[in-house]
Amino acid sequence: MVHKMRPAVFLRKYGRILLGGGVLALIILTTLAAPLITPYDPASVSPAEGLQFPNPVHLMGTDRFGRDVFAWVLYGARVSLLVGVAVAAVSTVAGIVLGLLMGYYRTVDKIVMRILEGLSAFPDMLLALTLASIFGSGVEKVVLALSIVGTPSVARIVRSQVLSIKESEHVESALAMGATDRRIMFRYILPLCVSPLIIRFTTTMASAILTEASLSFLGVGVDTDTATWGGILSVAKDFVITHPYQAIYPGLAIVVTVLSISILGDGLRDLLDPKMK
Amino acid sequence: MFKFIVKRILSAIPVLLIVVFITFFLMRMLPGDVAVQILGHDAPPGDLEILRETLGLNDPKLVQFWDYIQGILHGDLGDSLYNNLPVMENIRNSLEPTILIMILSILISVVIGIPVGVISAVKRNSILDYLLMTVSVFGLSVPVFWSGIMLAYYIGTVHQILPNMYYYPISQVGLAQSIQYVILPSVALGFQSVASIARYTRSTMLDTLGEDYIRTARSKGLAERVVLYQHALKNAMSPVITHIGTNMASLMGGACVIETVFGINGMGKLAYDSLIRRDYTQVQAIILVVALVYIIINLVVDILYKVFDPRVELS
Repeated sequence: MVHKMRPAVFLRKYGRILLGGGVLALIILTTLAAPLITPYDPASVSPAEGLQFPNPVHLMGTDRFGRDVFAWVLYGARVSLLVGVAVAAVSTVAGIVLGLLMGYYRTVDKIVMRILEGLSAFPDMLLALTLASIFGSGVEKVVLALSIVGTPSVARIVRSQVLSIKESEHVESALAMGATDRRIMFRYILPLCVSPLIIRFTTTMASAILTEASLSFLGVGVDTDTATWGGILSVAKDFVITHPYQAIYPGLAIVVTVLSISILGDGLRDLLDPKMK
Repeated sequence: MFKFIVKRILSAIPVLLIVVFITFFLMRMLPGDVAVQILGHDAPPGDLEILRETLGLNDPKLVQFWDYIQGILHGDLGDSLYNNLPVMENIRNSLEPTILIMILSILISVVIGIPVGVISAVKRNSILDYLLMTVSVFGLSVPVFWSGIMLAYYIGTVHQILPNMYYYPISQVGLAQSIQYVILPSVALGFQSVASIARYTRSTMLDTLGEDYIRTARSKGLAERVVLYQHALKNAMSPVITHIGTNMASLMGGACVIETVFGINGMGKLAYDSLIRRDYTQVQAIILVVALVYIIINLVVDILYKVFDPRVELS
């Protein structure tokens, strides 16, 4: 039977996914097409053209080094999205492994849970700062640092799911049929963790993008020659009184990107997890 | 009850030990040489070596760790490698603005977040709910340092309503003045937690509203206002308070960033500066203090539950 939905119901159900996903897709497209949109290379420095206000040539003006702010905003999305997706992916995989082991084996749980409790008493920004300083600058190093920060919460989600699913009848029946631990974990338990993990993926991605921006802003993130939103903001902040536009546009870029991911995540949560309504 | 409190305090000890252990070794993994940081890049190698020896940096790591633990047990967290003052003294000197910022930002997030969450839950699935929740996502999407810069620019510089930088202690300018300096950073920091508190309140409130006793209260004819605020809200609050407690650590992390943006010499900026200048002992002490406060707050929250709600089973 073909089921037709009323527009209002359709919007309520899929509106946020379409809005968040649509804006995100647009951001991805523009950043990939950046060389076609702007003739400027974000890395090229020309101090003679420094500190220009927005004008037809430099749509968002230039910073003190004469770098085109519009080009930075366009190219900056690459690093942000890359870091966001990579951190979410690494944290999810690491969190699944850790969470399954913790939920399934009590001894592992006792030890790892203590470590996670210790880590949660850390100010996460300070932990990210420390790890980023240890690993040094560079996209892959920032990803590693932020993944270590992001893994515990994924592990906790998987752990609590495992603990409740472990007692359920379909796991008991699998045990009775002689299924191995590994089979039970991956075939009987993990599939039921998928929706909370998808929701968590968007949250991790959003917070990784925010933290990366903060790290680059503070000068311990991705190296300063790479176009990052945090990086240009750290230069712009000293000129905000005379040249506020430099700080406004890159900041808005961060907000719009993270907002679209969060709205997408909210839409997915409503769709996948009716209990959370 | 007494047994519970003792058990709960004892369980905090291994957590603290782990924090100390992780911090200690993370600090030692940082690249860069403290001796070079202190004496400068062109210091003669001999001097550097002498300094390393006096700071105990040449001992094996485990020996250093053991010395450090013994120091902690005697209440001595060491001296700052940067200005040679006891690290606790540096912390005490930077505590005031940070405490004000923390209190104010928690206040802001609670005063806005809880009513927004309650309204959203009560008007569930209405346009208002939709709007409030969307606006609260906005709060989660703004980087703290950027909202700080923007607030400092528009409110501090363009309209000059509040100071846009620095902090002057209460002893110098009085409480009323001092608070003005922390308002903007607190708003920037608090704005981020508004969203999480609102969403948390909404979902626990929705859970509570579905409970049997709420139906009973309604069916015996109590005014909706009484049902909502006396029966539901009271019960929905406990998880929200836990959430605020666990949010403490991330708020402190935000303080590192926002104090740096506003040039406020608080504990957050001290942590960031010390990390950059490889002042291990100072960073270690700050993380230990933050972790201790975090553990104590969560301990108190747990105990208060037990006192107010005897049904709560705590293992």
